[in-house]
This record gives sequence, C-alpha cells and structure tokens, in this order.
Amino acid sequence: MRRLSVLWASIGALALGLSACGGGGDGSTVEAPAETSQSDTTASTTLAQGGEATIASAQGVSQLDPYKILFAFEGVVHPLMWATLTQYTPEGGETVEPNLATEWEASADQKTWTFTLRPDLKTSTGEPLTSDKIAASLERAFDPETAFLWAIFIPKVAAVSAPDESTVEIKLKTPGRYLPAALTKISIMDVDELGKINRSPAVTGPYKVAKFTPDQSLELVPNEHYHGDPPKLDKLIFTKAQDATAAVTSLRAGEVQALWSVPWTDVRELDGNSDVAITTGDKPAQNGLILTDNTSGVFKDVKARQALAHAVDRQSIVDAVYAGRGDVPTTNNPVFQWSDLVTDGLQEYDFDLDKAKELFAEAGVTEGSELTFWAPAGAYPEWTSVGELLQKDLETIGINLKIETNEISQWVEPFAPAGKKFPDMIVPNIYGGMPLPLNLSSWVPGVCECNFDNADYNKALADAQAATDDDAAKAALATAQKVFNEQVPVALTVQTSIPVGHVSDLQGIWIDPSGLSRFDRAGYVE
Amino acid sequence: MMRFVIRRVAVSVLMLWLASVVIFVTLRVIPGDPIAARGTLPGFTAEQMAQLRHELGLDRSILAQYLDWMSGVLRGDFGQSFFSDFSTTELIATRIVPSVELALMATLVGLLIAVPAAVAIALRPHSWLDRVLSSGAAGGMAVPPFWLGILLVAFLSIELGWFPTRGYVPFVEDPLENLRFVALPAVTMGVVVAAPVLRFLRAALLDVTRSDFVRTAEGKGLLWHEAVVRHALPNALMPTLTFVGMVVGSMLGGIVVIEYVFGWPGLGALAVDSVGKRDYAVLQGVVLLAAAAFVLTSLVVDLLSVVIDPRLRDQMST
Repeated sequence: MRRLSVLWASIGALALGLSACGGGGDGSTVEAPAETSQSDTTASTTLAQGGEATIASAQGVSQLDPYKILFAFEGVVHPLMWATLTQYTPEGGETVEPNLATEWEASADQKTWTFTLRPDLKTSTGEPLTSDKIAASLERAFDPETAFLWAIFIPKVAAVSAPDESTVEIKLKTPGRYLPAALTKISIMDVDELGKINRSPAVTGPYKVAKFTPDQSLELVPNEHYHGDPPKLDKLIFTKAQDATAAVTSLRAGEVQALWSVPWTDVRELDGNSDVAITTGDKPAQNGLILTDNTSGVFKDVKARQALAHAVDRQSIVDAVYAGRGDVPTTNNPVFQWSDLVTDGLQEYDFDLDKAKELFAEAGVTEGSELTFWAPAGAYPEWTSVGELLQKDLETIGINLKIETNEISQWVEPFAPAGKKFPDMIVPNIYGGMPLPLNLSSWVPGVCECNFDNADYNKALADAQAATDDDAAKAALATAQKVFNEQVPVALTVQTSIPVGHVSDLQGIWIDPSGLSRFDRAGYVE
Repeated sequence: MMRFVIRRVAVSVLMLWLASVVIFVTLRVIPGDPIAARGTLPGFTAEQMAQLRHELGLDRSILAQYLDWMSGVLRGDFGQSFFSDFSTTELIATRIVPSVELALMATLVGLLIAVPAAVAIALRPHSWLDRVLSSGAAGGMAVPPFWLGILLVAFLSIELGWFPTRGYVPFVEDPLENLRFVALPAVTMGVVVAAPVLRFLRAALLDVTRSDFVRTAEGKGLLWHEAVVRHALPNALMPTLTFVGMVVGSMLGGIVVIEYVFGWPGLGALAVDSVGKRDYAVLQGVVLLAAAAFVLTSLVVDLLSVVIDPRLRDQMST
C-alpha cells in the first residue's frame, strides 16, 4: 500500500468495532493523543491552533472521488475531506460514534436501520447537506456499477430513503448487525456536484480542497462549514515523494513534517532520532499474510497450508523485517490479539520445521519439491524479505522456494481477481482497511484471492450479522475464528500497521480501528 | 535551402509517426492494463473488469484503438487519465514547466563546466590539467546520477543546510526559492551533461587547433589563447552543438532518476507513475512529447548549423 504504484493489494478487514447504537459526544475535542509509538499511546497533549504541515507519501493522490478509491493513501486522505454517518475517534477506541448521524437504531431483525441526522449540515460550498443528498450518496456507494472498494463488506442493501429531513433509512436484504461499523468507511458527498469532484469538490469533512494536482500535491484548508470542531492546522499539504528513501531524508531535515508509510528498513533508524517519531498505534490493525490457492496445486490440501503456517518464523519476521513493531501471531487467527472478540484455545502454529516437514510430506510436498514465492518488485520490499526468511527455513527441510519478483501489474495478474488458479504459489500480501469483525469477510468466496470457500465459516459470519445480542454474535464469530484457524486459508506473518514518521512536535496522528493513519486531529504541540 | 528544410521537416514528421506507433503497440503488448489494478480490490470480479475494459474500449483491436487515439492527437486531444479524469494535456501542462526548467538549467550548468574546461585543455593539451579534466569527464560519465544526487543532498542539504533536499516552487511564485530548489538537481544533471560534452569538445578543439588557419592566426601575431578562443572555439562548437542537442534531447531518461531523488514534479515522474498504473493515455502523451522534443531538438540543431556555418550554406546552394 505504499510506494510507486502500489495498490491496495487486497484489502480485507480488521479489528472489531462493535457497532451498537451510538452514544457519545460529537467526537470533537481539544485534546489529541500523542501517539508516537506502540508503547506511548495514552498521553494527551494540548495542540495549538494554526500552522501548516506537509505530509509526503510515495503514493500520490490520483483522484478525490471517495467511491473510486483505489490506492491506500487515498484512503488516508479522503476522510479529511469527506465525513461519514458514523465514525471512530481516538477517544472512543473500537466504539462506533456519531458523526453526521447523531443516533441510530435497528429493527429487531437487523434489516432496517434508521439514522437521525445532525441538524443544519452543510457542504463546503455552504449548500445544505440534506437527508435526500445523503441518501443519494449512499445509493451511489451501494450501486454495484460504482465498484466501491468497501461495498463487498456491507450487507446487501435493498433500499435507501430519506423519510424526512432529519432521517435516513437503510433497508438491508440480509441482517446487518455491523452496518454502523461499515458506515465509518462510506464517505458522504453531494452527488449533484460529482462533475466538479476533482476540481473544486463540495466536501463534507473537516478540510476542503485549496489546490489539487493529481499524483503531485493536494492542499487542504479548514472547511468553515464543517459540523464539528475546526481542525488544528491552517493548511495540510500532501505531496508525492517519488522515492520513499529520499522522503525519509526530507523528514530528517524537517522539510516535510510527516511521511506516510516509512520504509520498514528506515523505521529502526528513525526510532533513534529524537526529532522524529514513528506512529504505528498500539493496536495493530492489519494482517500481513501469505496467500495460497486453496483450490489447486499442493495447497488444495489443508495439511500443506497448515505446514506453511508452521514454517513461517513470525518472530524473526517481526524482529528482522518489521523493526519489532508488530504482534507475533501464535495462532492463525486474523482477529487481532488485543480485541475483545478474539477466541481463546485455538490450536497454535508455533515455528516448527519438523512439524512442517511432516505435514508437507502428508500433503505430497516432499524433499526436492519446488514452490514459488511471488512478490511485487519496487514495492513492499519487506515482503521479499519475508520470502527470503521463508526460503532459508524451507531449504532446511529440503523444499526449494523460488523467489520471483515482478512489476506490480504483472505481479497481480496470476492471482487477482479472486477465482484464478495459482497452484504452488505463495503470494505475500497485507489485508487491512476494515474494522473488526467486518474484516473477517475478506475470506468469503469472491473476495479473497486464496479462493477459500467454507460453508461453516460463511454461515458463522452470517449468524454474527444476524445476532440480536452480543453473546450470540461473539459465539458465531468464535466459530468463524476456529474454522479459519483450522483451515488456514492464508498463513499470517505479522499483525501491524503502516508506520507514519513525523516531526516530534506534530502530534495527534492516530491509527483508527480499520488500520488507517488519520491526520484529522493533527496539530503542533503548544 | 528550402528543399533541405522541407526534407528535414518531413523526416521529422515520419519519425514522430513511427514513434507513436511503437509507443502505442508496446504499451498494449506488455502485460497489465489500467483495469488490472482493480483486480486486487475485494470482491471485484472478472466480469466487472471485462465490463470496464469494454467501456474504455480496451477490448477493441489495437489498430482500432490506435486510429481512435491518433485521430484525437491530430485534433489536439491526447485523451484523459483513466484514474484522475484529468486530460493528458492538463497533466502534462502541470509538469512540463518544471521539466523544461530543469533541462535548461542542467544544460546551462553542463555548458558552463564543459566549455571552459575544454578551452583550458586546448590551451595546454596533454598537460597535467588535461589529464585531470579528462579523468574528471570520464568519472562524470561513469558516476550514476542518483548517487551523485544523494551525495550532494547529504553534504549540501543535510550537513550544510544550504539547499532543500527536495521539492519545487514555481519561478513565478518565488524566483529565489525556485533557484534554491533547482540548484542541486541542475548541478547533478549538469555534471551528467558536461562529461560527454567536454570529451567531445576537447577532441574537436584539439583537432581544430592543428588546422592551418589557427597556425596562420598565430603567425599573424595573435597570442595562442586568442587564437584558440577567437578562431578554434567557434569552429569546434559547430559539431558540438549537434552533440549537445542529442544529449539534451535524450535527457528524459536521466531526468527521471533526478526527479525521484529530488522530488521534482516533472514529466519523468509522471511517466513512471503512468507506467506503474498503465495509464495509457497519459503515458502515450508523455512519451510522444519526449519523442517530439528529441526530434525537434535535432531539427532545430540541424537548421541552426546551416544558418551558422557558411560552408553548409555553400553546399546547399551548390
């Protein structure tokens, strides 16, 4: 999700944000978290009003339409311009909180959701943001022809309507207990202004666009019609740094104030720099993993997939590749270890090459067999490092892992979209961008390139969405985790978040429960 | 003279057309397309990809796509980005000024290094100075531009803080800041330009200084350095001008690296982004522009040579 043309790769989901009816305040505070490292996330620092910050990224911003998001960095930038009905906040943690909607309620069958809107909403042009416009925006997001990135994680929508000026109603075809959590990812826009979206968009978020040059720079200034507290910074400039390593130099020199997606190879060194802080959050929210095709080749056999899980030295990967900034999964459970939803008692997949050899042999992968590690070139160099570690370990049990790197468009071709056969290939990837438990839908048919299709797993997720109480939902999700852990549709390598480097006095940068870096609270220490 | 100009222009147009064909076909032959990127989106199906390819006309024959594109080009419409919906012309317009500025400044720096050095060598050929400068030129050709750029950033930006490490400010907004930003990339690229020009000009000067008219000039009482500067240098610059044209015209490849190192928002970076995304229209536009720059530079240099060199004019007239 970083550098040159790196794509969202495959974006799954993450940490659970239980989405009960919202309470809480308006989500705007004067205090912001001084979240500079995994171990320093609780301190609060008062931030001054004013100042400018330039944020570099090796990925650029190609376009501003929130429903056409394709690159990870767009997912980071768009929330600054586009508000959502519900939201996560640094204070609220994994609780879904109000944003454009002040409260919401579901019908008993979890199929009809009614959202009460905040009064007097306006776009950045000063035009009223009516319930009709919000409904039209949601309809566009749900329209399959829009091909909205996150649509797959939202229960099928039957209808969206605006019964009155302060209400939006969403009717689902199937129960959707976690709809409010999903709506934290659906930006609200004025579809009547779509034609101007890349020139002078009528935005709904805390910042509006001052100047935009695709894949070069985006200048944002406060939106005076924003419904919440005004942002701290007078100007945010997102600039494309063609080369991430050169951008690290600029960060050290203080010429950019933040760098999104610092190369992992630079993280350890920057950790020792007193002028620069690295924010990854204390709750990793993305799953680093290796994909195999569950429907062809040796990995059609679950024993081969389990063998691979035993052959991955996760501790070494976290230490050597991810600068120690990540959780080491002991099981193969994509639910993060810090989550309340995590299930205990799952079979552990400790690093055990003897066990891996035994399971591989049972699956027909014997000494002298050859597998292919298929990595992108010029992007995610850490993935190739993971491949090299795996190559060395597999070699000790007589399995030859051939590492092939290809330019990103060629890399994608053999395994994406879901449904393609890629026998005997091991593909590194990272799944993130959706909060738990919605991220578990990353492994339903048609979504994961691994082609995992397990009836028990799919039913468990549906049961969780239909559950009417927390215990029933948790039980269903526990079943899904158990199946996942046994079936190993993908083998986890690390649980982490994309590192953001920033000058030490720029604070308020936080990582939301979907794993995205957020700059909406950023400001300078007083 | 007119026949020469017409023939030369016709050859240039033919070269540009051939370049357009090569660019277009090559992009379609290499794996991937603008839609491939969406293959990694959750739940994006092969059917949706096929539908998008159909909407963009990517499922038509290459010939049909080419004719469509070329008819647009002839009307001044280079198509639009598949990603941002900005027209290729707009995207190029935002990048061409920084690129041209960098190319001009690098050429200026290169000539400021190469011409005095070559003259110094011609004044004392085969001396220690010649050996030092010639070795420097060989080193300049061997050194990778990105390495030199990083070296300059490390010393002049990080250590001494004299120049910014990266970025760009338009000249019209702040001329002094613009010069601060362009200094390091221009010097880096200037060294790359200077090295081959110095070697070429040195050889040309040493050749000309052995000519009868230079000896005659010296025999008529001119000092050696006056003979070199007034008589040998103008004659040696003639073939060098053509060579400089070729170096400048082919600068795009080197500039890409410089743009990456210094975060310079030029055409090279736009081209690389477009390659990664397979943003066909934008990439075709940029590469065609680069080809046009090369062809036009060669054309202008050839025409200038005829204007400047009386011998060529005589040849034309006879």
